[in-house]
Amino acid sequence: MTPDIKIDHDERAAPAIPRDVQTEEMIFNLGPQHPATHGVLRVVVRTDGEIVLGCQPLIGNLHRCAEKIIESLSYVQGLPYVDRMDYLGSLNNELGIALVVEKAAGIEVPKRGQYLRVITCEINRVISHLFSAGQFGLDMGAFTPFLYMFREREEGILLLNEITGGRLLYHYIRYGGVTRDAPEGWLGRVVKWCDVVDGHLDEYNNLLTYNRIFLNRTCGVALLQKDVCLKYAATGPILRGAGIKRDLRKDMPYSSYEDFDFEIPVGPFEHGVAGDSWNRHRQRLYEIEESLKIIRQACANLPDGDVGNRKVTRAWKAPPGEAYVATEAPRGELSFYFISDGGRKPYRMKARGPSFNNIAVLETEARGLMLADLIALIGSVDITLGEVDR
Amino acid sequence: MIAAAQPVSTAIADFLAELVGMPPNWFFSAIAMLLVATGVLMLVVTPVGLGGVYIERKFAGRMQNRRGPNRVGPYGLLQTLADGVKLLAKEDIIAPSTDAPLFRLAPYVVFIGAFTGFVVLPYAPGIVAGPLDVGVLLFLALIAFETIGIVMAGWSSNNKWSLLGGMREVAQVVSYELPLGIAAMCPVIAAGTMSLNGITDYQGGGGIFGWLILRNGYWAVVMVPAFLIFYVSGLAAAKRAPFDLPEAESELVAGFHTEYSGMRFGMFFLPEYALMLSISGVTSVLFLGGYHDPFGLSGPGGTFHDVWWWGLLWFFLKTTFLFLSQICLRWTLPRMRIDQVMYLCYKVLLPASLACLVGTAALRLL
Amino acid sequence: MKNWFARIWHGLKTTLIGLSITVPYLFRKPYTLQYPEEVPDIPETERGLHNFEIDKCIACYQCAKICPVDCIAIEDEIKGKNAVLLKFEIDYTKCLFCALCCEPCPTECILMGPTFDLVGYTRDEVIIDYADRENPRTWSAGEQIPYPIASFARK
Ligand code: SF4
Ligand code: SF4
Repeated sequence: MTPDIKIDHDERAAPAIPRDVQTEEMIFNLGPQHPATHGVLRVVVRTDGEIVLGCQPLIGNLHRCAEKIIESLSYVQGLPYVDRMDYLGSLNNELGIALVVEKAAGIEVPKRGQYLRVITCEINRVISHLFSAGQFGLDMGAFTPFLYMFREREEGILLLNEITGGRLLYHYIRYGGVTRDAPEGWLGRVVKWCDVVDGHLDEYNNLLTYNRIFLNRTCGVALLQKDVCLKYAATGPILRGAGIKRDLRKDMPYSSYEDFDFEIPVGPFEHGVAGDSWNRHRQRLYEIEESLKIIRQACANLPDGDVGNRKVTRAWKAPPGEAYVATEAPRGELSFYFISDGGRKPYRMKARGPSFNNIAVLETEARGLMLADLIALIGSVDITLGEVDR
Repeated sequence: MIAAAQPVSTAIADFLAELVGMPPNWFFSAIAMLLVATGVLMLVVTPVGLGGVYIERKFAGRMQNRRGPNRVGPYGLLQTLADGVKLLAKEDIIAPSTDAPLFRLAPYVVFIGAFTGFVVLPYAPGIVAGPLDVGVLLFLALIAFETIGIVMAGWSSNNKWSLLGGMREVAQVVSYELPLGIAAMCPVIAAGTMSLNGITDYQGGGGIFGWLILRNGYWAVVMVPAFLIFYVSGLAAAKRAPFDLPEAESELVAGFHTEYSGMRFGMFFLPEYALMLSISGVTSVLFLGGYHDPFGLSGPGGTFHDVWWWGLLWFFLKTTFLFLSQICLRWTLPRMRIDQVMYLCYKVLLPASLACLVGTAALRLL
Repeated sequence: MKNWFARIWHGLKTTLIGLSITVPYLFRKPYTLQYPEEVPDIPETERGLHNFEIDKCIACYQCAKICPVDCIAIEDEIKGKNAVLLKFEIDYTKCLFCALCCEPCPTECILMGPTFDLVGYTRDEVIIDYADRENPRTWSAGEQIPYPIASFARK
């Protein structure tokens, strides 16, 4: 659909409040039990009527010491815990930690294993983006697109269930490869699912993305411009939606991403200005298209061979050393820093979750928004609280 | 309804008087009228609300590729009843910091405001509870009355989310009263009466081109925009999506009824559907010919002139259509923001409705 | 003024486009699965509640050792040459369903099964003793275990 009028932020209410209509300030506790906080985020909001004067995200309600737990368990045992950090993109988390240990220990992953990692991770990215886009629609009051997206997401989950055995927490990628080869006919079903999702993208866009009310609610609203994103080290769709072309799959290819031909969509798109809620939302939907491209290519060119080498057992000791690996998770750059002292357990395993950095923008960028726009900001930044608190 | 109810209440009053052994006086009449009113509420209004809730859920389900309620009773028909029983059985929580008298009163005000609207609606030839000369005016006043209840709820809850919900409600409904009223004036001017019966009668004869929205063809120029304005303002007045800001669940938790539980919550829940239905009814009377069918059979001299079931059928069809369209809209559109709601009201609907009003007056003079 | 009309028209148009997407769904088949009546297809790889072949277990404690959350509690007794299990409890309040316990088992007697639902009113009800032969997920020698390939560690 081509836009017949371009919508900027001309209809946006000026946030400045004239002195004579200022009212008593109110403090709102947005969360931890609030429908729009995506988990257990608590945001303390200071408002003048509906206008936000300041806000402070208070995190830590979901803190589970993930890093410390991983450091206190052997390598094999620690792996299932990273699934629980960003529970919507758990395969991408597994990929991050697997890559860092493999890099430190010099483990080679067979090509077929790498491709299977890419396929599953990209499916995971698609279903995570479907969830985020739908959730954002829900925050804007549109229930129906959310359920449509859930429908396709469910199909993707079933595909992942078939190969990994889990529905949300997959524990599929292991040090040295993946656990299991693709079952009979699975690749064909994946390609079919890609077509289904591709076919429904127009439906979501026409129903939600290009709806006039949705455009009015999101275009030019909750701006996170380039400099803000850089200042707060915000990554992922937020950064690309703001117009900075950075995607580690292209910039620092890992796990055979260099083999695939795909674009990196960068905002601003048809409407709005770079870095507004609408562009972040649109960014996710464009990224779904690109991920589908990668999945199709990987399925078509899947090499033969082993899916992984099983060097890492319970008693495995990583050679002393350290490594740092950054990967592109659905919500931004997920990186691990790993130090080994030669023992059975990691000496240090530091995770840098994208949500944790992305959430920091709330504190300054929420000023002057209306309460409903604050919801749009939280929704379009798309944080997973499991990853913020870890 | 009243036409039938009057003899009933007289009979009950007589019966009561005989029971006690006193001559019938105003006291017994009052009790009898209360009984009849309760009966009407129980028999007519509650099923209307419950049916509305059921249809909404079923529609929402199917539109979202789900099934909707289908467990309790055949096709889930008893689901809303089961929910009602659950609400009745729930604890009625009144937090100590609330303004208790207002908090208790608010649901009733909303309930009365929403359900009284049915009084002035002409359902079929001869079936109208209160054939008032100022039916349109009373209806508009009742919508404003409901707002008071919601503000009371928002204020007395002593909860910031509720307060914001209440404030949004006032801002929204009071503003939308203007385009709603002005758009309603177009049919009033055209028909020359404020009585809903009079407006319906005016649209009889000539079938679909007797209806005000398409009257003689050329009336459509003003009446179609007026109809759209009335429809949109009606949505806003009934707090339906995309104007459901007072209870915007992803922003204000549950808005003005955050603190309500049990049947008091139900008292907010049912009137929403009642208001939707009565607004749909008024829209169909004002613009779509009320109980007149599109073929001209119910007009003067037609086959079905003054046949009550024929009229009831057409009134029911039109109202249901409007009601269902409101449901479809709700499950399609995202929610607006409060300043955009105001923008739409004052910068789009109000000037447009004024233009329609002037246009109607001009056409009337022709 | 032109913009004013264009905006109204754009709003109306996108609303109608939205309706043209949602309303046809009224006449389509729902996607929902009627869960207790229609059971979803469980893939062979599903990591649900464990299946346990009691006669094969040699009480070597390998599974208990690798479990990241220590949720397997084993007690045994040596009778003659063989160890007899007195208790093989898995605490499902803790279990991660990671299938790590299936991997080191020398006799492949603990496997992940297809059952995904487990409910109870108390926490004790979700601690399941697999040494009890009455347990529906404990299998004796010669019984056909569903989904035996769930142990994927070895090929
Ligand atoms: S599945 Fe994982 S957590 Fe559960 S008992 Fe086995 S090893 Fe322990
Ligand atoms: S590893 Fe296998 S054989 Fe050893 S105790 Fe566990 S279930 Fe029994």
